[in-house]
Amino acid sequence: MKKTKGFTLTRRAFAYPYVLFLLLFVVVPLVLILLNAFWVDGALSLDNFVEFFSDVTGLKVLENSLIIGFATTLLCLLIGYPTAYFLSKYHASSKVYVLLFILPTWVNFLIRTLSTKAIFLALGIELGMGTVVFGMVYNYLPYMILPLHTAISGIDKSLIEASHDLGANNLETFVKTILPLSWTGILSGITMVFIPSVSTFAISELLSNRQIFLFGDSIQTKFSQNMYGVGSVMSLVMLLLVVLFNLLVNRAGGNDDDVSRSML
Amino acid sequence: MKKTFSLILALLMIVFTLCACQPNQSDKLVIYNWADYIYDTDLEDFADYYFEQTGRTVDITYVTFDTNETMLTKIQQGDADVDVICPSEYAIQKLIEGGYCLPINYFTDASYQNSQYVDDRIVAKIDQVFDNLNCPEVGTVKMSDYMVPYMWGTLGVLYNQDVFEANGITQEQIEQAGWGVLWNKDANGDQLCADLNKRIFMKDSIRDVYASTVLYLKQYGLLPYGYENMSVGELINTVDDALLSAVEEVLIQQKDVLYGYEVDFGKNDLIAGTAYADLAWSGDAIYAIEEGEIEGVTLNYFSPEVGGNIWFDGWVIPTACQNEEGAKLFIDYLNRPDIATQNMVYIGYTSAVDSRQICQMDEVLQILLENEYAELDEYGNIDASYFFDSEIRYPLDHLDQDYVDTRLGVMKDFGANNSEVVQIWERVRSTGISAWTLLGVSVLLLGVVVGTIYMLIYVDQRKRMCVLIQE
Repeated sequence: MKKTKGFTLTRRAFAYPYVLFLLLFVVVPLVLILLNAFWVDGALSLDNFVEFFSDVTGLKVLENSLIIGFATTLLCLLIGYPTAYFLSKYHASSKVYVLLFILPTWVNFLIRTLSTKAIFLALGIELGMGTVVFGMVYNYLPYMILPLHTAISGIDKSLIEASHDLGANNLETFVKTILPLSWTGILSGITMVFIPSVSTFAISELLSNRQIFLFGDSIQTKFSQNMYGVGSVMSLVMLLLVVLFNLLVNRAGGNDDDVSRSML
Repeated sequence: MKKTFSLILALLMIVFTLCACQPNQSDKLVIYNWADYIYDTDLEDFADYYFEQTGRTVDITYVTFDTNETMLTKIQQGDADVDVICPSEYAIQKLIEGGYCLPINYFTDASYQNSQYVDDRIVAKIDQVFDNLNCPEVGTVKMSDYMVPYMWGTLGVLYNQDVFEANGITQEQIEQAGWGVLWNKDANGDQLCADLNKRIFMKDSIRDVYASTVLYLKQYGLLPYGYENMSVGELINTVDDALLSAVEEVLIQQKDVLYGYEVDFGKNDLIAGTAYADLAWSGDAIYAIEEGEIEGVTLNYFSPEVGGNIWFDGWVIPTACQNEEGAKLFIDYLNRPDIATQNMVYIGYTSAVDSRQICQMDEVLQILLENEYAELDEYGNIDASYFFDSEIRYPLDHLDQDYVDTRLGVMKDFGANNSEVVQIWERVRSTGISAWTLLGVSVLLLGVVVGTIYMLIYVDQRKRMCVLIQE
C-alpha cells in the first residue's frame, strides 16, 4: 500500500463544518465590529470611544440595563432555587415535572411576551419597569431552574444524611451542605440569565410600549441611523462586560472543572 | 475506482458549465420596495405586460426594506443588485446627491405611455422643494428627471373620536388643539381630556417626531426667539442647537402623558381601543379608520391647521440596474389608472396619479365598486365620491403650491445634523427612567431572604442551647 497524505476521514474531520461556521458567523462579525469601532475615515482612531464615553446618556442607559439585568437575575435565583430544590427533593426521578418547567420555552418567546402584554392590559396594569422585569423573569426562569436542578439532583444524599447525623437541622443542612454543593449550578444559572437579560431589547420594547430604553435599544438605534462606529463601540463594551462577568464567575467557582464545563 | 470518481466529477462539471452557458431565456427584474406596498397580482400582470411589450418573459423578484436607512446603507455599500427602488423623497435626495441614480426623464421623454396621468402639482412641488439638487459629475438636476412619484400623504394626528365625545369635547376643539392633542393640551394649553393621559402614542421615528414637535412649538408659541416667522417648510428642515434644545424640552414633558412609543403596533392599539391618540401617516390612518369601523370604534384623522408634513414616495432607478428597460416599463405600468387604483385600494395610501383625470374612468370606478369604495346611485351610475372626496385620502388643497408653502412642508435630509438629532432622541427616550429604586428593592429583598435564614438558624441554635443547659 502506498501511503497517501491528504484528506483522511478522521474523527476530527467532523468538527470542520462547525469550525467553518464559527469562522464565518462568529469571527468575521467580530472583526467587522472591531474595524468599525477603530476605523474612522480611513485611519485608526479612538474618536468613537471618546464619543461614547463622553456621552452621559449612553452611560446612563448602560447603567439602567445592568441594574435591570441584576434584578432579573436575583429574582430568578430567589424564585428558581426553591423551585429547583423541591423539584429535586420530591420529584427527582420524575421527568414530567421538569418538563413542565421547560415547556414554556417551546413556545416562541415573542408570542409569550405578546401574550404577557395582553394579560397585563386585560388586568389594567400599567406597563413600565415592573412589567419589563416581570417579563424578563418569566422568560429566563427556566434557564435558572435547569442548571440548579441538575446540580441539586447530583448531590450525594449521604452527605445530607451525614449533616443531619452531626446535629444540623434542616435549615443548617441547607446552608452548610446543600447550598455550597449546588454552587456550580447557581453560577451557571446566573450566567445564563444575566448575560441575555442585560442585552435584551425586544422584551423591554413590548412590555413597556418602548418606554424603557435599554442598552440594546440604544445599539439598535445607532445601527439603524447609520452610526456604525459608535454602535460598534457599544457592542464592544457589551462584549467586554460579558467576558469580564464570565471571568468573575469562573473565579468564584474556583478551579472546579465542573464549573468551567457547565459555563460553556 | 478513483478514475470512475474523476469521470463523474468531470461530467458533472460539464453539465454545470453547459447550464451556465445557455442563453438566458428570461429577463430579470428586481424590485426593491417597502413591504405591503404594492397589490400582489400587479407583479404577475406586469410579467404579461412585459411580454406583450418586449416579447421576452421576465422573472420578477420583490425585495423589501423596512426603513429608508436600511435601503440607503445597502445601496451605498453596493450590495444591492436591484433594478428599481421606491424610497421616500429625502432618501431619494441622498441617493441622487450620492450619484446612485440613473435619470428616468419620465416627464420629458415622450416614449412613456402613462406619464400624463401623474399629478403635475406633485411633480411641481417636488421640483420646487428640492430645487438645488446636485448630482456628482452632472451638476444641478431636477428631481423629477430622476424620480417618478408613487404614493403621497400627510403626517397628522389619529384619534379616538368616541372617547372625546364621551368627555364632551367636539371635533372643532380637537382640531383647534392641533398637535397639542399629542401633548394632551387644548388650544389654550390646558389639559384637553383627563382620559387621554397615558393613552397617547408617539412614533418611534426620529424624523416624524421632529417635524411634529417643531410645529407643536410653533402652534403654542414656544419657539426660540427669531424662529417665529419661519415658514413650515423652513422650520421642519432647520436643525440647530436652539431648536433642538426646545424640542428636547417639550418631548421630555410629553413623556408624562405618553402611553409609549410605537412603530407598527400603534394603529392596532387604537383600533382595539387601548390607546386614544397617535402620530400617524394618512395611509395608516385610513386603514385604521376603516378597520375601526368594523370593530365599532370611531377613529378620525387630521393634519393640524398650524402646519404639517407632506411626503412623497417615488421610484428611482439605481446605477447598478441591470434591466433599465424593464425598470422603466414597470414604473410606467404602475401609473396606468386601473393599476394605480388597485394599488391605492390595496395599500390604503394615495397614488400620485391625478384624481381629476381618473375619477370618471370606467375601469377605475369598476375597481372601486368591486372593493366597496363606491356605490351605485339610483340611476345606475357608479358614485365614487366617498373615495375621491375624502380629505384624508386627497388633501388636495394642500397641493396648491402657495398653500403648501405656508402650511405643509416637505422634509429634506438632516444631513450632517443627523447624529445630533439622534442624540436628542436618545436623551429624551432615556430620561425619567431610573433603575436605582429597582436596585434598592432587589438588594433589600436579598437582604431579607438571607437575613431570615440566618435568623431562623440563630433562633434554633439558641433554643437547642437552652434545652442543653436545662438538661
